[in-house]
Amino acid sequence: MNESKPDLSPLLPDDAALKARRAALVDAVDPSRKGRPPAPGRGRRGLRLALGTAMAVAAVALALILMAGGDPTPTAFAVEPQEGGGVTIKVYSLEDASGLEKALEDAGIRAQVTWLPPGMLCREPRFTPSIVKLPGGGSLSGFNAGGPGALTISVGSTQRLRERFREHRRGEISDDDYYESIGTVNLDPAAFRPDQSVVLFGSPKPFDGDPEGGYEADFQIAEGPVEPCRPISAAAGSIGSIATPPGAGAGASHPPAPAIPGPGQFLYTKTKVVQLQGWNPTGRGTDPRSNQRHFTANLLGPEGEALPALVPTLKEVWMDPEGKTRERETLGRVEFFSADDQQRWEEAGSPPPFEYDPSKHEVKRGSSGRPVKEFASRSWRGRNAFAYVGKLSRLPTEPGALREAIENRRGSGSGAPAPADSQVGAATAERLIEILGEPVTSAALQAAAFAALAEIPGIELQRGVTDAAGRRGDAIAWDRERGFGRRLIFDPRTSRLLAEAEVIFDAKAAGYPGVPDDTVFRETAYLQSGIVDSDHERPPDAE
Amino acid sequence: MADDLQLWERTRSGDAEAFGDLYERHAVMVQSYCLWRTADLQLAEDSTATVFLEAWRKRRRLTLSTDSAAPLLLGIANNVVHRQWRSQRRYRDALERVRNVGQIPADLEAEAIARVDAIRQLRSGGEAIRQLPRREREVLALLAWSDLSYGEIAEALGLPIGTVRSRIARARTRLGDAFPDPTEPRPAEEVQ
Repeated sequence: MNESKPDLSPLLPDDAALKARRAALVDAVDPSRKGRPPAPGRGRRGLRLALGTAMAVAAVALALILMAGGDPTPTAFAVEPQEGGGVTIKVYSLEDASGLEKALEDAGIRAQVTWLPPGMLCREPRFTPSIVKLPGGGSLSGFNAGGPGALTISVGSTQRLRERFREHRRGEISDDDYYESIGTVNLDPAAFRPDQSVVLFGSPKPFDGDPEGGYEADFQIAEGPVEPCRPISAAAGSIGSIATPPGAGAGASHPPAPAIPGPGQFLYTKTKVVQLQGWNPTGRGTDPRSNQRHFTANLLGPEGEALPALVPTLKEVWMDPEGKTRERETLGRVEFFSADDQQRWEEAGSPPPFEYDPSKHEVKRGSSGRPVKEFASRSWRGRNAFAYVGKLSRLPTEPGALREAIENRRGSGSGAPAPADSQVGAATAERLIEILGEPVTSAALQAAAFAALAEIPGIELQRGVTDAAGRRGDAIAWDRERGFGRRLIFDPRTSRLLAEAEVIFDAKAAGYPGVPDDTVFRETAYLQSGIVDSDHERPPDAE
Repeated sequence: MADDLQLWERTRSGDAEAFGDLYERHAVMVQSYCLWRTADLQLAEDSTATVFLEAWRKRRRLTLSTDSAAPLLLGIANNVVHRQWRSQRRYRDALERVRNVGQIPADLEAEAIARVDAIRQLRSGGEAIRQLPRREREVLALLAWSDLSYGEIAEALGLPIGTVRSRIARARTRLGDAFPDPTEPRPAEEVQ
């Protein structure tokens, strides 16, 4: 019978038809948003910076100011000639960016200055970092400065600085005079190569509780071309600035070929999955309604008697080039939310709280004594499981272009990213997460996906978050509907995606009153992946 | 990568894009099943769209109890095919909008011939199974045209697993040896 199955492919939609029908279906079920841009949703957490607005503000903000005597308007900066040549530039704010650029240029230093609205940063990377020798000795790659006072840039020769230093040593000039003349930083135009320049950007920042006063500035030395600043929200930008994955710098070249199993090989992936599940002690693990051995979160809540628990599973998958998989799941230690629940579970005989279908799975005890479920399966991607790798490699590695390429925006889309709690923004974010979670994604594409994610308004930065595998990282999180939200945890050094989670931020709104807020609904921690030669083999560095 | 559980959870909260993702993932499977049951391309395409429209309408009442949305969708497909005209009347307007989207132009002769040929094969190949009583036919069609396990077929049809087993056994007896069991459990080997 199986052999006589006719080939249905002429009768089935191809990829393009599927996409078109999907779009029609989505429109049909949700006619409210047809032809209309998504309304920015209301959210409980996180920064809600509308990027488009912020950019407009940035453009308007470039309206100032070299002070004329007696003018009460605060000075953006002042240029003071130094004795014996050179200038001291006292910067109180970077508001007059082009004026400051010109002043530095006149003093012999090429510079790109950007002044941003509060809470904004430039998206990095946009230049290649460099180093210059300082007239006072040592070298400089960059620094952060800030405060209500001035950032003093002294431009002069090494020769003159040494003289000032000696004068100060001999007590001929006061400390104040000395420090004022050498400034926050001393630059000697002669120490700059022709391709080197200063990149300076900053934004207003309250100091000492004074919301009006103060600024924060970032001073960097660059070599080669410097791309213009593309403002992003600081919540996102601080993630973007955590790190750039190796090979994804401004001069990133072609990504290395992604790892795809060849004939006879397997893609091995190891993840730890933690899931909120319900277990019903009276039914001894059986769903009383369907009389089946199912343990899922659906049983939680007022109707169900089930005990909520976090159930960790170590998942190992070996996938061949055809998409066939061998999977192995080892149940971890089930974590209940109260000691009472734990006791009820133990009294009922502590059966393994995961789905068990004897026609499909083999369940046994592993060497640790924990239940191990083994089964053969097929990737949901189907027979040509790695066809998507080709698609991945064709995706642009520039964040804005990447977002536009994967965005499901019908009709005329505006250029700005849709907020994370809108339909379009959420769907875009999910696709970016999928890209980040792929073991075959190149470093350049990862960096682009990461930056594109960071640009989506409505996301919040959480520092020092621990993932399901106990690794600490920085996370971005955003709300979805009904008390649910998303959280992605990154390694702050490498920007590698450690884990992605669906989180119940508000248990009551989500309909899970029995669990505390901020409970993981489902988290996948990415532990390891690699190519192996058999479906019983693990990569050499497997724990 | 988002799995079916996550996508369905989002669908339930009204996320049409998540629902779209589920469509992309499962539409081919659902349509294969509908083709098999109807042996008619237009009917199968309408049924497929109807299955998803039905899933969307009932989303708040339906829960996934396995990792895959396949049992749920095929369970709906089973009902849709069985009550063809009734469910399609409800979605007449929506079907109008979905129908003919992404259609291969019929003037491509080679395509048209391939399609006619596939339909012909479907009609003759499935004849024996279509002769079975409806209850056995449903179970067997799911077994043949999806990767569902017995447990998932039970899930899809809302039956106890024992009933699924006995219906398959009875259908097999009627059909003779023509129908081997594709889900015969294979022993998993110990991993070292």
